[in-house]
Amino acid sequence: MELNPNVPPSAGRGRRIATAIRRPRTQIWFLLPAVVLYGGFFILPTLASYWLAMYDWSGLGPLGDFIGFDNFRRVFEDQEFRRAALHNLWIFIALFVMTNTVSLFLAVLLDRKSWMRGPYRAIIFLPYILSPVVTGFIFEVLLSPNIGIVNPALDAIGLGSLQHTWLADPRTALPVIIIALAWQWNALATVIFMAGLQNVPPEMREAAITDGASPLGVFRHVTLPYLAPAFTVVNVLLAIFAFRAFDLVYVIGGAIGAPNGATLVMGTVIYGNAFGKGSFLDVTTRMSYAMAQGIVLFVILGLVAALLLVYLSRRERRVH
Amino acid sequence: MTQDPNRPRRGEREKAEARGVDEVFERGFTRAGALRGVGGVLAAGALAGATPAFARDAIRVRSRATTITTWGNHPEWKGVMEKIVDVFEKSHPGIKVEVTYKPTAQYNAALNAALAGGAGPDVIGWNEGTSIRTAAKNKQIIALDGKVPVGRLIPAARAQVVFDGHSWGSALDAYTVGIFYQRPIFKKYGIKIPTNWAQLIAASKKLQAAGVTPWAMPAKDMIIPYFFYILAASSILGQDGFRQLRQGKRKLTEPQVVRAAQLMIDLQDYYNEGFQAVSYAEGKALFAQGRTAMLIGGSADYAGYKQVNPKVNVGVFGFPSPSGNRHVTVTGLDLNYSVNSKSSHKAEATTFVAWLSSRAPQQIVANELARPIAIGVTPGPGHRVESEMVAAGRPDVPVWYSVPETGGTFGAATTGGGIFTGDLDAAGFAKLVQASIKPSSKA
Repeated sequence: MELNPNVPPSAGRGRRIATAIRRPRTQIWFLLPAVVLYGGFFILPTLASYWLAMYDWSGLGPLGDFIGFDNFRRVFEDQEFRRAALHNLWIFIALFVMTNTVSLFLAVLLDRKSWMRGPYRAIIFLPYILSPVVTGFIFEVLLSPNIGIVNPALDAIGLGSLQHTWLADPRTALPVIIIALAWQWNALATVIFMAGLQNVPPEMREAAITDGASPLGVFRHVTLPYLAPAFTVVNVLLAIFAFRAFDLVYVIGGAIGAPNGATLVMGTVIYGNAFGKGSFLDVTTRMSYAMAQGIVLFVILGLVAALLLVYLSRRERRVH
Repeated sequence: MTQDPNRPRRGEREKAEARGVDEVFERGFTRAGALRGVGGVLAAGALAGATPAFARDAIRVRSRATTITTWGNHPEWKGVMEKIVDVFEKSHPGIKVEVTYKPTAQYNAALNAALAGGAGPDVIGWNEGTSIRTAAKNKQIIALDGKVPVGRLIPAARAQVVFDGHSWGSALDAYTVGIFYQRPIFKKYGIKIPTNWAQLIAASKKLQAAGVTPWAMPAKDMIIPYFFYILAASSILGQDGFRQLRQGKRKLTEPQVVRAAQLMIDLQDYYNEGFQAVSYAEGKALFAQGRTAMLIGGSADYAGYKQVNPKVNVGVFGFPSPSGNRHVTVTGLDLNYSVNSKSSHKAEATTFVAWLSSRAPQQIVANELARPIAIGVTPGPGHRVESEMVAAGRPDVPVWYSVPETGGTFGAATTGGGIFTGDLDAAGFAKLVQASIKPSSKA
């Protein structure tokens, strides 16, 4: 860029700034629709929900009385919500263990060169493509005592003593849901781990092997440190997945978390309060209370995700 | 190597050269083509001119027809509802009705979600009870004074839609709930209709011994267990006792009435396998297929059984009382239809709602669906099950959630799933439901 010799440098800078402000910026116009849509359909309703959670409002008709933080206080006293939150916690713990063992193991297996690698990858990833609602139906049908094939299959292979009414027993209903969620979640976790494995330089492995490291030693001291970023991503996403679980759980356990609330999660409780739990006059909706529960869920989720992020990021820095 | 897709291939190029490239690769406006087009237009015009006047009117009316929307809460009624809508559309050529069906158990949640999002149908069907009153209070529906002939509604239906000095809509049908049974199964094992609880238990035991699942008791959504409980409790209380319950003079926690919940526990061994996680719809299908011998069901369910199994051969009886002095049924109303205040077609929607209680749709209801809500309409000859249902209840008690004092009992019962898992005993279940009752001296 050439400067006009007749204009002092300070004046030129001022003009350039003024021109820059006046100049239409193409990128702003490209961003504007997304910003307007995101602001209008996400940011504003989210902010409004904080305000509406302080009312006694059913969700239909005019706003009720302003009750301040009363809804939030009730959330913490609500046995049903606490029980549901505990179920979410169980889901998270179970999936955390499964992800960091089974999914990781599958990723390592699929990272090996094999002519079957493509089909295996497709099979592993398939559940993630399915809608959670469909996954829920699949498990419900498989385990149905009336039309399911799991019990007859167990009987056919001589394991008839293991036949069970899986979804009707409060002790097994939640574990079944965890298995269904794990089946779906495993797909994404495995793919992320596989992407992480691509970052491990082959020469590092080869050097370790040359130095006499065992395969387990190579995995522990070479592969795992390189997977640290993948662990961070997988486990933070897992926390969100586990605490936001709703559709699959709703299909299997219904609005009241059958049997006897054994499959309630925070999502189903919030939905039930917002839109009613079912038919036959159970039309009581408590939208403001549901919003308060949603905000509490948001805070819990934010805290868990933040803690995980801080811990795993530190670990990432340590191993690198 | 890439190839221009528009470029002609070698053989075609040679032919094209023979005929002239323009003719082949550019669409030419030839004289013959133009003549064909003009001819087509003329022919269409001639045909239109030759179309009889009535057909043209029909086409014009069809194109002008206003489509109104409504929702149904019984997908299994689709066939009969289509018949009713057809009759309406024939008698009202300017209006088309589009019915969308939602599963019974999800109906209210779906409706509430749609209304909250401003996407409700033109004609809104409310489950009986207080929901239509709340909607009127919230100005979600419009008053239909003088437009709906409420005088021809049976008193129970009128009480639902006439309040606060206005008429708000009309129901389509009422339903009576009793015990459906498989006639061939009862006949095969020599079982007579039980007249008391001891016989009911004995029949269940006999069926199970014969390898038949006695009861379908889908409890995932607690709909059928709720009806079982209110029938059993009503069989103890009777009409007078139910009124006293509403007035606060009697309680479900009385040892005599707790027996109703205990019966539900005592029969647990005779319910379908895994019943705690079986949905209402699946339970009905099990019974309709003849895989269980009995099911608590309403007159409105019969159409659904026939849809699942056109050869279904069932009968119905009222719930026996413990000592055998009476059979009890409970009766309620199905959806109460009203006009959405946000509808763009209020006049057409009002016409449809007003028509629902007229003779033509009510006779279809009586013969094929449920109990009619218009005075003087009865099932036609040859409709045995519908007639049996009417005869089953002596006495007939209002379905509990339809009256304000016991309106919360369904919601309470849905949290009582512990009765089937051992977490709640009979007294505990009765206490839970009793806690939801708001007695009133005016009842």
